[in-house]
Amino acid sequence: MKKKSIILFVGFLMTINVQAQFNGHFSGGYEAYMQYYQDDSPTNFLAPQDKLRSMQYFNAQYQTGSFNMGIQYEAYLPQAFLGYNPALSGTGIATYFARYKKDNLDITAGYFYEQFGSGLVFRTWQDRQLGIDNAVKGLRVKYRFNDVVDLTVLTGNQRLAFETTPTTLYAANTDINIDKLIKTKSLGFKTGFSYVARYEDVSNTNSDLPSVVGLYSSRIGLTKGNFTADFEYVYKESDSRTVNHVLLDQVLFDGDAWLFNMGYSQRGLGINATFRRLENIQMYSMRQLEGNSYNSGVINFVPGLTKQHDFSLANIYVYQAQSGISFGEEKVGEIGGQIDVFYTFKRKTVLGGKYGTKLAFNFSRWNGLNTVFDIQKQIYTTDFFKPGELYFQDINIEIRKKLSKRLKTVASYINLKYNKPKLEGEGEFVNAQIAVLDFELKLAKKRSTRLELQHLSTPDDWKNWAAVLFEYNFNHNINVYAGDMYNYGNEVEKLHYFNVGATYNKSAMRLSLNYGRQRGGLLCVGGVCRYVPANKGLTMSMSVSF
Amino acid sequence: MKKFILFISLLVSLGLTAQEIPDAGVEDMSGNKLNFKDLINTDKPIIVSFWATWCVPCINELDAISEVYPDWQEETGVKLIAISRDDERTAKRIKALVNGRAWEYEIYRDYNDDLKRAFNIASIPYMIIINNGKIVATRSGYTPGSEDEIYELITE
Repeated sequence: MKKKSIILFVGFLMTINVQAQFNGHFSGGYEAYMQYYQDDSPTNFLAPQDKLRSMQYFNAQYQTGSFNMGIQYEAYLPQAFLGYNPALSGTGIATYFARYKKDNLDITAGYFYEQFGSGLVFRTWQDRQLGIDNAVKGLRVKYRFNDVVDLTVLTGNQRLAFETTPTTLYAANTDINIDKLIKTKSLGFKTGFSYVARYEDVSNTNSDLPSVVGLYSSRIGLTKGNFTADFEYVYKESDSRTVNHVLLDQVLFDGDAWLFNMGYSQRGLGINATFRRLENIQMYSMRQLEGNSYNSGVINFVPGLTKQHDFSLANIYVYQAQSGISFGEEKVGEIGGQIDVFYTFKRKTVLGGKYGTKLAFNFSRWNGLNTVFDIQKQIYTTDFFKPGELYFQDINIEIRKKLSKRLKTVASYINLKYNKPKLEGEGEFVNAQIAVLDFELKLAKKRSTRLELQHLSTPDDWKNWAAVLFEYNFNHNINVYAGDMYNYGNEVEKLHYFNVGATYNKSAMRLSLNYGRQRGGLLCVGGVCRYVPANKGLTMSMSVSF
Repeated sequence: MKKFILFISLLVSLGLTAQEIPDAGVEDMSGNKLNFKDLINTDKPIIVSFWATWCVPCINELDAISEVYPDWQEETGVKLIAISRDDERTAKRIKALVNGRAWEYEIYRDYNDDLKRAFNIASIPYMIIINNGKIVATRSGYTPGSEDEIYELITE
């Protein structure tokens, strides 16, 4: 089977290579990640049996005229990294597609990625760091009528590692540009509607569960001058729940989501505010996948709406959207919002100084819904607006300033509240403050250095942390770094999370090497950010596109 | 390991041909869907920068370029198109951030990852420099001062 697929794949490449010499063009990419795990007694980390693992992705696309086709080959040898779905092991052709796109018509057969509206109703995407690839295998047809109406219909089965689900999705979406219909230029006015249905065979179960469960979305977007406003409502039809692989079908629950966003911006000032309320809105392409830890079979995209911080200590307590029903943990959803303000103090003013000063402020706050549970009957009632228990709050400010021709700084302060018992089901409520100072210094001959200092102080949980990172760039292509995160406040064990590494960039190729102890989070070095799961050992990665 | 060598030799045999401009959908800040091909329909040099609101080095790079951008435009007629890789989690922040930072770039969003897949972008910042409709250079990562190298590329 493996051999067959490789021969097929090489054959495919050769064919397109030959064709490419006549017309059309060929493109592709290769990404490889290798990791060698080491035992690490201070963190009680035992290297798995397969200490050396690699994940490789090779994709090739060929385009000629209105036709486009592509194939993706994946290899997990002998299996994917820790934290990824263990079903990702071995090698095989993971996805392929053929697409015809001409004028207003766009038809895809095979695997495709699609998003309706904000994704709250439907999104398939791939994220290698998170191990997500929920492409749908089937048929998709898009048509655009007079630049006014976009219509999409699709059907297929969702990808699950190297397989697809036995369940089937049917979906339709329309986006209408009302501004173009009424021929106005002064107002942006869009509206859209979506329907996504999951068909799951229930004939072999004893219950009278619905075989079709649908998600509906309607939305509207307005832009006028410096103002924008968007609103979306998503409804999920009544469905059973699955908790720890057990199907609970005595009481069915529907769910919904309300999303409202407003923004104002002019040169030098930008403000954006979002409100969202979620209740039982996450949907999976199979009932039994509900709540799985690899995000397998996720149909809709329900992200945590908080600022995505780029510094390591700010990624210890990260909020994830709460959208499922749990009678045990007394959770049914979330309500809250966030505000962002971006401001530039002009040059040659008191606060702007010689080069100007840039400020970013963000505030987010998320609560549970105020809910009364009837555990006996397994039902609940909830308020629409009244918030329940506080889940998460983040107040942060970031100031960027160029101090001289060579020196730039970023100073950041973060004040966090993290309801760990509610969000992780264990531990204590965390109040934390984080301060970050980042210096970037240009040296002669294209050389530069960067120094990052961070501190997290909290009387709770793992207590205080300090972190330092030093980076030296020989030029744009070669960089080395060394860093340490030190959990010096921890009473049980004061642990160092050290890291050393190097990166090499050359046009569209990038190579990197890292050795050290990691806790999960974004690692940003050499100008690139990547999510790194917790581990200790040696990591190598390579990416090239052509 | 054999497969790895096979892949690499394939890459080499395919000659690492220059990429072409893909037919991919992007979204402007008013939610209009446009084709990426139509954005670069000019004989002036174009810098396409892939960035995101959560990517500090991307912002450092675009901030650094914004200081010299008026000079670059005057001297070369260059246009910078900043294509955001933000997904819906952070997409609403784009317009506020761009205006708040007083960037003068054309801003679009790769809303369905079409460009990411077409260009095989593994990480950002990622930059493509186009001249006369042809891709003349590709860069990934940002280091302080590397904007000077970009200037050299567009004046070549």
